[in-house]
Amino acid sequence: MAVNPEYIERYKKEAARVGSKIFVAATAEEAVNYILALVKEKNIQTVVKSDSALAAGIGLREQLENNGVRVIETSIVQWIRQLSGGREAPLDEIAASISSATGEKIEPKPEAILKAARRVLKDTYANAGLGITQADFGIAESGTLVSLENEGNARLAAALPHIHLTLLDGNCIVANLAEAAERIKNTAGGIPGHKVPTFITYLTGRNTTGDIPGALFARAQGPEEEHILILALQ
Amino acid sequence: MAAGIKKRIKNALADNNLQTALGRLAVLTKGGRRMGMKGIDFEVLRNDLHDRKEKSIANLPHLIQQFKENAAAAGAIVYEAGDAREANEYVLRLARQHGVRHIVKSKSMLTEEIGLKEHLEQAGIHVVETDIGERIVQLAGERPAHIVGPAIHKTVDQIAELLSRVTGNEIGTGSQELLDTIRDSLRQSYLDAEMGISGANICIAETGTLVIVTNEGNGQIVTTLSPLHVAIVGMEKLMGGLEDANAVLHLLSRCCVGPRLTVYTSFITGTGSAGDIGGIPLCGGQGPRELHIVLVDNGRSELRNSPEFRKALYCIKCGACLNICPVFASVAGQVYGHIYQGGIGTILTAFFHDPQRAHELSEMCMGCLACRTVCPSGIDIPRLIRNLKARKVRKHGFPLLKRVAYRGILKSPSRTESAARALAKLQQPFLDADYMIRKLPYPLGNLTDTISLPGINSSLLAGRMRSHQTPETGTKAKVAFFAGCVTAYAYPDLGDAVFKLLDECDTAPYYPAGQACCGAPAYFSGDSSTGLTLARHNIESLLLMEPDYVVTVCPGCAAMLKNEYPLLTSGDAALHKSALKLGAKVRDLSQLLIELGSESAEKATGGEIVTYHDPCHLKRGLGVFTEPRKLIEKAGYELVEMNDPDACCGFGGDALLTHPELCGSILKRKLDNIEATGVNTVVTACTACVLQLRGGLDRRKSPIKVVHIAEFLAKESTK
Ligand code: SF4
Repeated sequence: MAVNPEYIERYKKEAARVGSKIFVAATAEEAVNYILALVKEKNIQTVVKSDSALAAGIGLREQLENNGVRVIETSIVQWIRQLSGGREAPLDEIAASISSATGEKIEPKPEAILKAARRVLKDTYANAGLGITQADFGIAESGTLVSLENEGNARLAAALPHIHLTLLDGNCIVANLAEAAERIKNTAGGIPGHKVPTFITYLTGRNTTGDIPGALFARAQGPEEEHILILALQ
Repeated sequence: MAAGIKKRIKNALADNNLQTALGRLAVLTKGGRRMGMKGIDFEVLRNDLHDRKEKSIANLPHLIQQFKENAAAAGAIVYEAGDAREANEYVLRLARQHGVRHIVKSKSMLTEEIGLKEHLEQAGIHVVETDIGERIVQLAGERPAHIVGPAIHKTVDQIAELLSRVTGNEIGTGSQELLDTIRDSLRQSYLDAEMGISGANICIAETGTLVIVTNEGNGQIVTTLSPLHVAIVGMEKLMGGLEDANAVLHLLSRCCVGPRLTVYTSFITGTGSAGDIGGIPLCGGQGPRELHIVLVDNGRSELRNSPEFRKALYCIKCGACLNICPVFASVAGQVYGHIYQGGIGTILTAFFHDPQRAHELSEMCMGCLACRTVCPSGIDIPRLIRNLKARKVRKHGFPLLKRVAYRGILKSPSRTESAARALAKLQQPFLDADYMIRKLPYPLGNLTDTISLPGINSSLLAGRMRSHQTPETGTKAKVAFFAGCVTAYAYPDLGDAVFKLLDECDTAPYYPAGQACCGAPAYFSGDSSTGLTLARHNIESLLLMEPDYVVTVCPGCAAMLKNEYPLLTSGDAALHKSALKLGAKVRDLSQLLIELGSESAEKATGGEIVTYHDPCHLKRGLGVFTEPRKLIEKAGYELVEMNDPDACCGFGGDALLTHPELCGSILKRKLDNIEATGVNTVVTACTACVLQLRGGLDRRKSPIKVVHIAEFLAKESTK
């Protein structure tokens, strides 16, 4: 996808209009600094994050950890990897690490491991100060973030933590809903039988409710703040 | 059953909390609509959505098949429920199989419709509503008051009191504190829940996808965190592809509260996966392990098979029609007594719930057409309401009073005139010196509850016009004047004004003999046969002398002649052709004066400040609203706009007889808006509006004069 500075400009305007806090980083350092400053300002101890090539590219996890922030990977595969000291471990070893982490005896079977991971992660999201996810692309006309996934962890990391930050590649912005639909149609489902990924979320601005008089713009049930960090790396 | 409709209306109007809470609706929705319509061509988008909905509903059986296949291939389990009972039992069975004790639920009108929550609760399962408004309503033991804003009828104080009672803690009235209290309690419910229930806004057949929109974020959590997700979906939500979904998304949020898109738009296709560990697949992800989609019929097939009502299925539940409905603004949703509110709710109630009750609701409609202009799916809701009334008349006949009034009197012009003469005598004891009637005896007392009525003029128009029944011969444009009942019997002076203005435009006005009531009162009460008889009669009388134009001073009549006669006569090819011919000649007076380039309005001095009230059927029925304003300004007046100049005045057809207090409440808002402008004169362009506004201002003993634009301009031109 080609860089389109016009799209970035439009995107910025629309996202700000709907209450997102938006920052465009021209270098990896700027991006990391933005997040470190946020973490510091909000006194965030724990970050949950979903798989993100952009985060990996700027060494985000290491930087956060170096600054004393606990970073928890939320895709089960990565979460297990993290538990196993960053390497691929056999099933019985995985079961053992989960057992020792949770204090519960886990069978070395995929189903038991999956269940245990779900249980542990469920509590993790809501207790995290910050959720970091990566959008697959943005929609300029409405300032929308689009994320495609099969696992469901990115949606939870986006909805449950106190603050949510999305990384968006400045090259990945489409003009409008119609272009978004085109892109989605050209994305394989990734699971047999799926024509499109299991979960596709369009996130536009910050969650709100009109249900209580006088609180139209207050936080409803999602994060208190939505940050969008556009990486327009030179 | 709840209290009768009249009682419910009365209670709602007397409920100060409700009235305070409702004040918020107008502010919220007016700003929202303005924001929502910015930068789009609404007509283009809505035609597109209408066509896509039309196609989807036509193709429904095929789409269901396609959806089932694709959803199943992606791991969902689709169940088709014929009615409420089947849907409820399916979900309960499922809950039992999985040992579910706690359920979280996001907003779904359909689950309200089928009573799912109650069904599950009776079986001992704990169900928590997670939409904040729904939760408030649930805690209060009530039903949603608005399809989009369930708790729109509650004030902050009421919510604080409720939460204090439920939590046992003193909760302050700060909005944020109230929100925090609810949010925190919901967080635990999400974690505890073994099942999440949602609705869906759209189902995409091509991919087997559910589309769910929420603003609060609860939808995301409910549909992801619980091990079991059950989506309860009305089958009318099915559409073909992503493009169709986009057509809905383009308008749903804009029409509902204004923003371009809802905060969360979620597309869910089957069940997910977390991939594999060391080549061994993890059979599932972090979302639900099972996804059940219950496609509900519950009256939708019947609706689909009823050509007169089918379009009700195009509804995307945006709530725009409620936001703009003057009846809703007076009484809110609970008055409707079932689940669905407002005009569209009346139709849905008829098919999904109780036709009898729906007939009752249909009598609340003012016929103001406001809903029709805002509906993103292009549903002509007022027409559906009329069809419902007609269906009732077909099935159950008319009550005696209406039968006498419409079929006995109105249907025949000579009898109408005799009746008017008789009434002109009978009214004497009730007539005040200024020719107003302020108090009628039982059983007509209703009529003078909220307004004073004009007396029937003893010098009826037809008599006065006897010498003007043919147009002057020559080359001037022949303009037939169609008076309408209110002019003919209450305000015959208007006839003189019209002739004067038309003379000044160098046309040849005349008053076609034999013209009768346009038939609108009967027709819109569901009496199509009286409507047709009068249509036939008027088409003949009005076309007899081959006029160039047919002019009216009552847009209700004009809209009837122009828009309804062609529909009414569709069964008779020759008559239909004449109806179209007549329709093409029909003009409202202001429209015609502008079209003829009226010279009657030389700039006058004085420049009194006046305000203008848009009659519903002139603005929305005929699309005429700049013309009267131009004429007023051309006449040298300064026009100040009132707040909501095009809001209904409460002269609401049937409702005037059945629910005068409701009409009174709508009138009150209009009069408040008029008075707030500080003018001495309000101009309008409809005889019925004149009657209503004069009657109401008289009750207030207000010095503000209400003038029909015909008289206003005619008086001006003599200066
Ligand atoms: S009838 Fe039209 S305006 Fe009313 S809720 Fe349905 S789609 Fe919206």
